[in-house]
Amino acid sequence: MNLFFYFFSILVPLSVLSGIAGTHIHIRGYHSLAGGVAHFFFGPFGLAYLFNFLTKLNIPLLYLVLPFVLPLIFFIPLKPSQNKSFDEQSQARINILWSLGMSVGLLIIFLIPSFINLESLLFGRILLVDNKTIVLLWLFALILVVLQVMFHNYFKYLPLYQEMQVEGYRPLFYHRIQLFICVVSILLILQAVGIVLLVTILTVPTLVASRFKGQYTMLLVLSILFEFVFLLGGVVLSFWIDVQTSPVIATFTLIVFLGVIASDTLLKHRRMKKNI
Amino acid sequence: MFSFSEVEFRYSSKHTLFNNIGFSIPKAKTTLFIGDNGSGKSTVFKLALGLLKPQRGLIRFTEKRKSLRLAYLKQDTFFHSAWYLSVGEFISLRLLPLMRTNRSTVNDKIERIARHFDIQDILHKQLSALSLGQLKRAHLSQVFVDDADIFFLDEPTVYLDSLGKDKLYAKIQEEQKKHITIILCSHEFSHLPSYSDNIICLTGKDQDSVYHDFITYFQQKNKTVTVEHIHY
Repeated sequence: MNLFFYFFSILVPLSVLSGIAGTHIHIRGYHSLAGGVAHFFFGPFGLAYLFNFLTKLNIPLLYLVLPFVLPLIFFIPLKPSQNKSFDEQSQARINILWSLGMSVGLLIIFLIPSFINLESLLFGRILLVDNKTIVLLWLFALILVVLQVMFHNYFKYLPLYQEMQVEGYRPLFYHRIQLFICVVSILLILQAVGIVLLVTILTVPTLVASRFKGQYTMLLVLSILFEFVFLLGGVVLSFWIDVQTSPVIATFTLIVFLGVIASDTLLKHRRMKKNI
Repeated sequence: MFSFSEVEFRYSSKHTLFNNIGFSIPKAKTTLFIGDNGSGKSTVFKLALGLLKPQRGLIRFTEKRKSLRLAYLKQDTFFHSAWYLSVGEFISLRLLPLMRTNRSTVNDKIERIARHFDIQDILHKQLSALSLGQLKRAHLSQVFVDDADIFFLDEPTVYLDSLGKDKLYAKIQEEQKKHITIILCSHEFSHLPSYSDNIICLTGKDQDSVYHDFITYFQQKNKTVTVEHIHY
């Protein structure tokens, strides 16, 4: 019973965070944001270890990394500049941060050998999440749900930023809030599940949800539901085959995704045949 | 309704579009902007809407800008980045303040405008599944779904079939009867000029002759024609 409760206390906030952030990332096309933030994270993370801040200050890693990562929300533009496409501009900026953070982090790893167990960053420790992180997950999940409910309609119309501006709204403000939701979620998920699973759970469940044509709200709710199903399915499977959880969740999610694509294609093919 | 005086606008230091343009847009009238490609018609709209800022000069509204309700049909009708919105959701952007308080009014307004532009059947479709003509009708529905003090319509007839154009003209006439200010820009010279009270021609200094016959024709029809010279 305790184990069951423990799983749910992690999986529920994780599903909410990754469902909401995944939807934003998918619909705004910030596909390299998850990888970018996760690798940029190496930089401040390495610096914190180099100067021994974690033991000196005795605060969760998230609080230490957040001041370095939050400025990212001012780095990604809402609208394209005159000569460059939006994607080109934002993806290039994300990639610069990606390499900057990672190179600083790796440099520190070489300076202080064996200062960090890299495997824990790659695969996370979903079944060994400490109580402090669980409380943080719930707290931020709650904050992000409140932000989502408050600004739901404005997030929905962000790609129509010119029309929003003409209507008297401030799209740039909502854009920053949206990026804040994404960046904080990525950091929290990273701490719990590691980089390998982070990219998968921020991308695949929303992709599956978007195959069910519906409204924006439906996409968001379905993303959260699929996140939960994939995470739970992966945890149960990893117990059954007795293999590390994160890679099993990632593999399970990708197999289901491929299954959905295959059945979708098959259905389309049948429908076309019927029409002929 | 508003006026431009001595407005200068550059997209880059090398590319000056307007050096010193000035004109007035009268209230409750329909004004049509004409000019070559790249003459700055859409830029005039964006400057008036506050989406771009002039480097010099004044854009002055006769009433408080914040108290005015503006509606804007932009030239670009692709909406790739809003692929996930249904047509109903897309139209309801201009009804956001009503969404939380009066959902039934929102639905009524959407149904009415969808009936006018004949898009009832595609209200639940995603934007990514529409043809350009359907997108244009959805876009026009979004603009006309609610009242506005000024309608800015940039190339409103592009991608529309003849039935769609008729529905647009009917809507323009409906708004004209309510004495709403309408500002158009178009290359369509067969119908839209006849719905316009004023015509503003944006043209290079040496290119007046291109529009000479057109200008003379509308001056004879007692329409106010202003010619604004711009830099090419």
